Amino acid sequence: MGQVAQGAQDSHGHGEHGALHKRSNDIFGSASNGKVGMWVFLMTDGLTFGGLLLAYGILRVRNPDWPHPSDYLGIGLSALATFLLICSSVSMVIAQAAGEARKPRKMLNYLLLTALGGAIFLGIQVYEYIHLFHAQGMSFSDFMHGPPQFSSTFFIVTGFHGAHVFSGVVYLLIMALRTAAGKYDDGNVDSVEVAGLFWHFVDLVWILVFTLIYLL
Amino acid sequence: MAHASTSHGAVLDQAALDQAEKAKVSKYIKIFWALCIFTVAEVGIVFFEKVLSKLVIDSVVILFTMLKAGFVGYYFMHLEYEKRWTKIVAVLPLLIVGFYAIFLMPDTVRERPISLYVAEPARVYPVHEEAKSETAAAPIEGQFFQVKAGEASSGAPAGAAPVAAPVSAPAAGSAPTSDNPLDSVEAWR
Repeated sequence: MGQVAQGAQDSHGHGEHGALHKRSNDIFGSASNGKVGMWVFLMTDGLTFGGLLLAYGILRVRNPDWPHPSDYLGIGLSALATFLLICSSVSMVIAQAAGEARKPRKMLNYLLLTALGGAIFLGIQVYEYIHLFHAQGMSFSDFMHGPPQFSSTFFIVTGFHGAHVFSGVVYLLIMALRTAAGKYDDGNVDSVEVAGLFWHFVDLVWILVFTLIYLL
Repeated sequence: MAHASTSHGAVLDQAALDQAEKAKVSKYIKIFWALCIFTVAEVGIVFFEKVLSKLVIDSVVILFTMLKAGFVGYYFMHLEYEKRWTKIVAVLPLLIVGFYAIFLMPDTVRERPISLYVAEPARVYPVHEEAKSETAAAPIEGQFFQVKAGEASSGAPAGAAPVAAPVSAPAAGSAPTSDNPLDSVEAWR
């Protein structure tokens, strides 16, 4: 995807394919094709999360036995995970700013830092899952102390988000490899920004999930 | 982003680039502090449970969450630099999910049965590990031996009855103490 975005900007950016580029300019401004594509993908992904969260909400408000989440889920640990994702989002924008200032070395370091934040987040999530399995009697399909939907909605929402974190980490590592190979030395970091969009979206969704699943 | 496009062809000196980077990073750090403060406030507001009502707490938490999500979208995802259509694409899922939520409101009324909703028999949830192991083991044994005892009393010679009786005794003893739905299944049989 990164390659396509960059190629599109390089070949259309100087007016050889004026008509195509102009039309996209009027609507999306200077946003590259790759960026617009990522935004449209994020829209569909947001709808998927929205559907899951709505299902969770309906199951919850219709169930009088629904336990208070903080009785079974660790708020402190997930607050730490939230903090980690916020930090990695910040390091992502710093990486992009460094790339635009033609400091590929600094961008590489911050990209790796971002990926590390995501990896630690995944580690926390694995630890949390194991803890919930053993200490709180939560499995994917049943819950020992309450309605099974409490367990299954928790795991489907956080699991789907965790899959996003995992793919985000892989995506960031690919971007780091490309940075190390010198692909962004000229300061044209559009495809890094596209990767950043995905990563910030994962952070944004977690901010919502943290409130809706853990806090309310 | 603005000067990723201007840097095509134009030669920008490194000092200007550094200046621009510095300005961006200082803005990002401010957003970072805002996000941290809102997160701490969200988690910390539960300590005011005694003072504030649940509705107020939840409203404040949701407001802070929306602000945080807005900060991430607007500043980190650079929506501030995008044209209107990118912004529309970005808020579209929120609008659609919001409308959907409004249309689902009637279904959130618990008392009003909807056609596909099938009431389950009431479940009793044990609170402790020990309680769990009792009820997990008891109904299966009880059911098994109950059936066996029934067979023994109906068809088997009298000699078999003493064998079945001791094992059915604990099952019979545990049955009245638990409100397990499986008991009602047995009664129904």
